Amino acid sequence: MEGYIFLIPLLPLIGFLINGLFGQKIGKWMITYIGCSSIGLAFLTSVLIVYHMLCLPVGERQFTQVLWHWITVGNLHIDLAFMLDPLSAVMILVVTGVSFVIHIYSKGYMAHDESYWRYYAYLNMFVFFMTVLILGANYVVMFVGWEGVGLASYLLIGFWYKENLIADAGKKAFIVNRVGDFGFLLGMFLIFVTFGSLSYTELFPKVLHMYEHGLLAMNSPVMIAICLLLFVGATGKSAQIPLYVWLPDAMAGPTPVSALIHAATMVTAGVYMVARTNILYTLAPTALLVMSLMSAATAFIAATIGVLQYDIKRVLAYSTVSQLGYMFIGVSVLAYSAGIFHLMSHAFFKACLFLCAGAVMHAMRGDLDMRDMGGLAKKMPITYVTMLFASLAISGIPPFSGFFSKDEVLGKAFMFPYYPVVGKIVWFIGLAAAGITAFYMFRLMFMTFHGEFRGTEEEARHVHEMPFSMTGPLMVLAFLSLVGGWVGIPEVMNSLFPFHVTNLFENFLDPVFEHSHEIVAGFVTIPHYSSTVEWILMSSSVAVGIGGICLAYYIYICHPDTLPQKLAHTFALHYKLIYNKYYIDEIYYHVVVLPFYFLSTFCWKVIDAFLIDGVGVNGQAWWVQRGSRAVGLVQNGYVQTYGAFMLLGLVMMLWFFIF
Amino acid sequence: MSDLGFSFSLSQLWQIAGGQLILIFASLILIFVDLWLTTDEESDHVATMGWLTALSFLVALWYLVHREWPLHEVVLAGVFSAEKFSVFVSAVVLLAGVFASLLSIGYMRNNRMFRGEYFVLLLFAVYGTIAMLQAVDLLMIFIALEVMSLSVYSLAAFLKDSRKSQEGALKYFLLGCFGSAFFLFGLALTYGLTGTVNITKIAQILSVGPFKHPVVLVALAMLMAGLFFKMSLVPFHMWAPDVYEGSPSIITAYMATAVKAGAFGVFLKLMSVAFTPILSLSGQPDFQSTINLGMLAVYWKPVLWWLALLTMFVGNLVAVSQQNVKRMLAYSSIAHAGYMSLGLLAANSEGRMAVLFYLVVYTIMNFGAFGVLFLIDGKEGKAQTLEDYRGLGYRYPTLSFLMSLFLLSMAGLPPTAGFIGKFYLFAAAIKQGYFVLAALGVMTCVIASYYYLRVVWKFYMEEPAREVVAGNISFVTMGVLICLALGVMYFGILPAGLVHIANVAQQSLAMVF
Repeated sequence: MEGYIFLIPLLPLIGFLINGLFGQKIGKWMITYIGCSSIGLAFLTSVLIVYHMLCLPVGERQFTQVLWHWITVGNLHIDLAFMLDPLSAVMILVVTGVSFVIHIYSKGYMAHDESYWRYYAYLNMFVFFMTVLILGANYVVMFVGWEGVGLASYLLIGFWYKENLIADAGKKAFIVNRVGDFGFLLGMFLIFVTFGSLSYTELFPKVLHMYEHGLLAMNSPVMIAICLLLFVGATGKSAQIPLYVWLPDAMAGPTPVSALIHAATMVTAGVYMVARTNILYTLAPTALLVMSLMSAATAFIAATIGVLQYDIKRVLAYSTVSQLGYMFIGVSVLAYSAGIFHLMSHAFFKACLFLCAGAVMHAMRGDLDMRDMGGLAKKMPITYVTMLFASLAISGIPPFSGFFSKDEVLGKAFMFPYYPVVGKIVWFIGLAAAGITAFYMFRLMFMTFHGEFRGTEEEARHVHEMPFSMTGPLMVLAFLSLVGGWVGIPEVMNSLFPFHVTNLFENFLDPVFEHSHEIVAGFVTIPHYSSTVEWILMSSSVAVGIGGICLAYYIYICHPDTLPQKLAHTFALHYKLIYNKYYIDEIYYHVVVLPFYFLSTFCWKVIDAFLIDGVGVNGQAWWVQRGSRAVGLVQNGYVQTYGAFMLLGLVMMLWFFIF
Repeated sequence: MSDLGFSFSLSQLWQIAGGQLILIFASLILIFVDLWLTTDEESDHVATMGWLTALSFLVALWYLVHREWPLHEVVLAGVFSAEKFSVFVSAVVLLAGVFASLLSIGYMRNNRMFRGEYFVLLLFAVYGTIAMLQAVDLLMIFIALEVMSLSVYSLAAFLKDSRKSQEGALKYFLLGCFGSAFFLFGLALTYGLTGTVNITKIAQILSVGPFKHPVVLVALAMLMAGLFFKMSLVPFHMWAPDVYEGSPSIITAYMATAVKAGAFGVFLKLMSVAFTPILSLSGQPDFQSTINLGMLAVYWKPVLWWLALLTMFVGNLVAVSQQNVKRMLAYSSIAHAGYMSLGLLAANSEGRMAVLFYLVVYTIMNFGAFGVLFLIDGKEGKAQTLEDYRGLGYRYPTLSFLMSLFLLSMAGLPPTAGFIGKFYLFAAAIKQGYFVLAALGVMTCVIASYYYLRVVWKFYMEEPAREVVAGNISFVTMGVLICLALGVMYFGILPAGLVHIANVAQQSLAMVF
């Protein structure tokens, strides 16, 4: 089956080419058909290949396909090669599956847009690059995908580019991502310089071999540098502190794009990359320490900002930043499979939330301010129920998927083998953020769907349930938000079931991470906690989730008119700080943007326009023109002159030869 | 090779000089075909002649590639050799012949110039070039050179109504006499000194003693000057712009590529074999002494250094102020000769390989550029200036795109073949330690990109100054141009195959005996 891996990126590419080149001519029906079917077929191919993988014994679950030798310079050999192992299998299923659902949803959502073909072309292009990113068998191919999804994201954020604000949001995303990509590139260079290879199948065994033979120390400076540089790349793509600022603005794009790119798939690329590089990270505990603290801070700070936002999509955007923080907590406390598990369940419930938000936005004619909503549950029952499912999932209420994945992340953080104390701090921050998450999600639910409608009469009349092409995807995703976590039920819950359950998800990913586990086991003694502790951890996270929901109920259902204002008044300073998102954008503007602006103006006016263009380029051109005319004068058309020059040349040669 | 007797047999003649024989027979037959072929339309007559000529070239090319390339015994009676080097350059010349004959059909139709003997002359020109390339006998080289030159002189004068064409051809002829005289004089001196005209023997005899003799140096200078004329190196270049501008565009393309390829090929073969220690690489004890010829490098290398520099500078600099695109391409062709002399100067295997590679690439892109030029022209000289090219990008998108592609390749921009070719030339020069020359050469490339890109700018960035009506674009012409464009891209992206072949070809130079 490995011979068919190339089809997974190829099909979206074909869809992109057809829609991009001929989209204007082939009509909406055809565009939709090509756009959706190319992704659907890619999903089908992935399912078949992964099914084939599942049929194989655990040791053989790794396929590689080399298409051709791409770059060969000196001792740098890079193949255009794809690799499918359990890790990329999970990713490819999530990405193609969620993409397919969202492609279908887009049919209804974008139905009236004049650039319908452009939208589908970009969306297909995104899936192409995302699959390349996931399937790439070396860092260079991954980087191609990494940059490609950045491009697709930029194009789709600025999809309605005629508005300045929207175009600026696109540019912001692009520029902030450049900073991260720079780190990623440097990390890649450093890997090549240190180990001489960028291919996964060569690099990781080599690193392992060097470690086992004492050629590479645990926590050596070069490993820390590589891991932190790669992490810089991840902070850009996956919106972590300090580079998260682009993601909330990225909500300017169409909502399905926010669901697909800026919630479910692209932004998780950083998590995937860290999990892919797990052996290197396991060998750099200091890098993991830094990462775990930063991601915990991200999870917490983004959650607090989400509490006071009124724009539905912005709440979801900060929630995405916060949830990505959880995923990074997972991978940075050596629980790589837990991070990927949360990535998967997050893809389901966050895509569902965004699509529901899109449905609400459609019903409200583009209004996203939840202060204008209220009581929508009666008019949009399907949207309400599906969004409730997803909200319960993100709040970590059992038996929804978010409960299992978040609990696994937090539980593993509590047992961080390298730095047990830090692990407990991270766990505590994560727990607090989980409570806040539940609070802001249900604040959103209550303000939007409960109480009285606060908008205008006209809006009230317009509110309606969406067509099936939009509610269908919602139901699929809501269902997945419910059951998606059941593949990773922890062993400790065995006593609850009449039959034996195992953590299928962790076992499936185990071949990818087993070497990391061996390294850890050989380096420190893994702390062992009794099942009682695990039960306590689990119930505490459920407790904070329910606590958050109850608090939201108390404030926004029992006292919706008085309590919020009163609280804002009492904690005026905190309120202002959080409402303005800790002034991060303003700080960036003054510390980074303005100095750069002055520097570039100086470079442009003085160095470029005057020195280079004026004195340098035009000065040289002036000399060339003058010289050209001067030499051209010799060519006067007289054959005598020509002959004389030939003779002169000969005489000079003879003179040089003989004397 | 110790005995002076040569064996000779007809089968050997056919084996080694088969390509030439095919061309001679073809040209003789075509003379009669031209006489007796009667068609209703004159243009059909020309088309038939053109196709037959192209077919003859293709047959010869096939013969060369399939029969002569794998040969082991390569020398025929001390006169001709068919080692891989000669075969490679001959193939380039034949390829140029194919392009020229096919494009000429369209050219003649557009100019209403229906003359069958044109193709016969073209066949003779190609025959002369190939004979010159395969010759290992100075006298034979000279005779073949003259066969080639006389055919090309008459082809250059083919536009009877154009004063420029007549004037250019006459200048070419007069100055060509100078060049031939230089060469002949050098030949005579060499013969007088060594008593032989076979280049391997010359090397052998010179190396054991008299190579320091001043007369050798005079002979060397004379031979070099004669060839520099054909290669159009400064200051032996002054005929080139006038002739190139006046001649029919296809003939200009042919002169700039095939004639130059012939001259460069002969220069490499003659110089390397007779005046450098290359034969000692063969390991034959008879040629061990040729290692002494390395001493001559102190004479000819500095001269070539200066000529390469001058050629690159003068060619590119003067091209900048040209308003006529055809004349601009003529100067650019001088500049390209300068780049190629970098490879000659390096005189290492990389340099020779780079020259061979560049000959192929240069032939392709030059034919492409002149092919588009004559189409835009309509009738010769009607629309050749930069002003005429303004805004054509929207009126003739395909032609403009092709022209831009060929010019970008000449400017040496990746991913075109021109970039790879230049890269190898400069790399060879740098490897041999000519840093200053390489740096100055790259500087001239920058100047060159100005005038190439100016044409592209005119195409797309300016409003048309006047109505320009391109000539009729026939299917064949377009087919050839598209093949050329694909070639430019192919060798730009996947040059490895051609590099390998060129490398094998240059290695065979040590085996000419």
